Amino acid sequence: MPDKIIEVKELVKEYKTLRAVDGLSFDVFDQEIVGLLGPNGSGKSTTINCILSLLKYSSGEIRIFGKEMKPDAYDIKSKIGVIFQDVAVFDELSVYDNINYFCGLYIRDKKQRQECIEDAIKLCGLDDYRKFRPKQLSGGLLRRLNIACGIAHKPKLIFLDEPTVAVDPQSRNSILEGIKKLREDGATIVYTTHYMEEVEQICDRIIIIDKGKILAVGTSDELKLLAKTEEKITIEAAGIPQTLVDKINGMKYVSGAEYDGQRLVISYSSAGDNLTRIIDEMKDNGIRCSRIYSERPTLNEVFLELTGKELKD
Amino acid sequence: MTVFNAFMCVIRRNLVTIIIFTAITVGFSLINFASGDSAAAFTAEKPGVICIDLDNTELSKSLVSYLDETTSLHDSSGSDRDDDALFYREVCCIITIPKGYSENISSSSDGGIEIRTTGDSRYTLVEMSLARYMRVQYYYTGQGLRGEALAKAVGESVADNVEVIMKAPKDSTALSKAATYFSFASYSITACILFIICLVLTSFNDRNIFRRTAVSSMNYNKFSLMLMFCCGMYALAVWFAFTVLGVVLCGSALLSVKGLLFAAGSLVFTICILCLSFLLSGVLHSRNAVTGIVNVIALGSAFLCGAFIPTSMLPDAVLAFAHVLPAYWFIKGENEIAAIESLSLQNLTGVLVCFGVMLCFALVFAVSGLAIASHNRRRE
Repeated sequence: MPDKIIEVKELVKEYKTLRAVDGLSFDVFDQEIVGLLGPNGSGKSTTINCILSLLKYSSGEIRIFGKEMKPDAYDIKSKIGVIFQDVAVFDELSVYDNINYFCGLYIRDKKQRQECIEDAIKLCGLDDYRKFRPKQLSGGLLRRLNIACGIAHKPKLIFLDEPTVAVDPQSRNSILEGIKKLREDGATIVYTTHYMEEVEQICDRIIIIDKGKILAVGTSDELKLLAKTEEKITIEAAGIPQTLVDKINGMKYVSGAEYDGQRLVISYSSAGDNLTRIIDEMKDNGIRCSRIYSERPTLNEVFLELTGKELKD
Repeated sequence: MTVFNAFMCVIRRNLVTIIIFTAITVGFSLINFASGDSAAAFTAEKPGVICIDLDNTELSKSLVSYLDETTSLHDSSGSDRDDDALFYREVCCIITIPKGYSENISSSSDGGIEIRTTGDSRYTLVEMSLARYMRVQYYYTGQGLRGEALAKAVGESVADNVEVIMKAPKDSTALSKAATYFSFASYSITACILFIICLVLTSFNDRNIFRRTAVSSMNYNKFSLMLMFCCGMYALAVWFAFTVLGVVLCGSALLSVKGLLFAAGSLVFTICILCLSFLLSGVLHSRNAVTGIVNVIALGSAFLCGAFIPTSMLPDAVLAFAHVLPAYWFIKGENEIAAIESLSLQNLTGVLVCFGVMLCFALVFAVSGLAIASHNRRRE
């Protein structure tokens, strides 16, 4: 069993009339990438801020590296790196100077710091931009600089709070690859986002949060099992008679079939050889299909079934 | 050191702005000094006088000789020409010594001298000189002297001069220059300190940078103290630079006790502006806001408090309002230092009051700034 890096027990954060975090309990293990997934306002950032002691929480317990996390727990803080959602860099400083400054808050030895800065620049692909000032960088490069500033001191625990918001796909992939590399180098990562694709792509475990409560915890596959729909088959074809749609609705494991004149969407409560059977059915009825494809349920559908609303606003 | 280096980086990025603010003070001072020099280069000019001696005696010749000493005596060129000279202000008066002047002086104090004048200000000097001569002559006449003896006695008396030596000369021009320089410098000191410190603190107090610093392993209180230390060092550097610049521009006048007072005044003012910048950085959250507010405060103070325009030319209402601005007390203090004749506690009271008021301003700014910073931190 790997070591517990973060232990959160019964965490509660209350504002005057709002309970932003409502009794959260979870653990994060060594060299794990854990995704905190939830819509905007679900309590993800509040949870992170409480863990980092940026917010006073109402009750509960937070331990990091086996020690209680407090605002003056500088020995714990020295092993933590944080990348906030909003870019936090100095406009007046160059890329190199920004990384140097934030790294300098952790590492005083100049030589060691320079090595760390070079590694961070290389990892984030900023080698050609080290003398650039933040205003001269594109949105994606700015995000990479933001990440470099947070991880330059080689932390063992990294919090990434929606680091890919408003980033182009190329930069996003680069950032995600960088995060995987950090884990390979031995870091434990807590990744907060409302992009389910990113969570599926990089996270070992996912914690789904809504209204300050944990709705589900598990791997991507484990969470998808929570969905009533296990498979969804879409058939693009014209002229499917209503009688055939009704027949499909009555087939084994079919939980629903809807046809809009161009596309027939069939939901199955259990996966199996559904695709073979539906292709045979189409052939038997002389329906010419232009396209047929099968999909596993997404985390959004899991979230939809758990909460009754979409993950994305 | 990390904080200090970042601080210096921000200053380096804004070096052009600092140079512009400094150049404004140097430029204004040099222009002012140049205009002051032309006033200092004033040379005395004797008023032009035409004297017509109809008496032609020893006594009348003595008077003509005296007038030749004290005025610029022109030869008479006939009645019409003399009238023209008077009309065109080539001379300020025509003095006619009548025939029988030597005899008349026993019965008349001025011996019947006739004077025609344009009445301009230059004649005042002639009138004073003539009155002095006549008083002396009248005195010796009363003593019974007449003719050549009287002329000799009067001539010797009016030739006497008293030499006045000022053992502690007041170099009013140099001190006035220094006061003018520091008045202009109040604008640049305000702008340089407010702009840079507000800019730096606004960057460091940015919510996201604050949070990144707060989660780092650096003690936040230590970090805040380091930042304040950097601001203090920068403010001192600005003060020192402007003081040295003052010595370069005003010369030896500042290498004296009064020079020290000027420097002390500017130091107190610098502390006051430093505290004001702490206060403003708590309420300003963007670079554009900093630029706007700094211009309003620096230029507004300079104009309202008499940095660019002498306070004597400002309306009473403006001056009454200026009392609530530290720059007013700074400029007032510097002007009072320039006007001090000798150093004594009594003479220094006004200056010390100005320093005290500035320190009170500094205290109010510092306390308010700390309260706002504390509130901001709690809100974060």
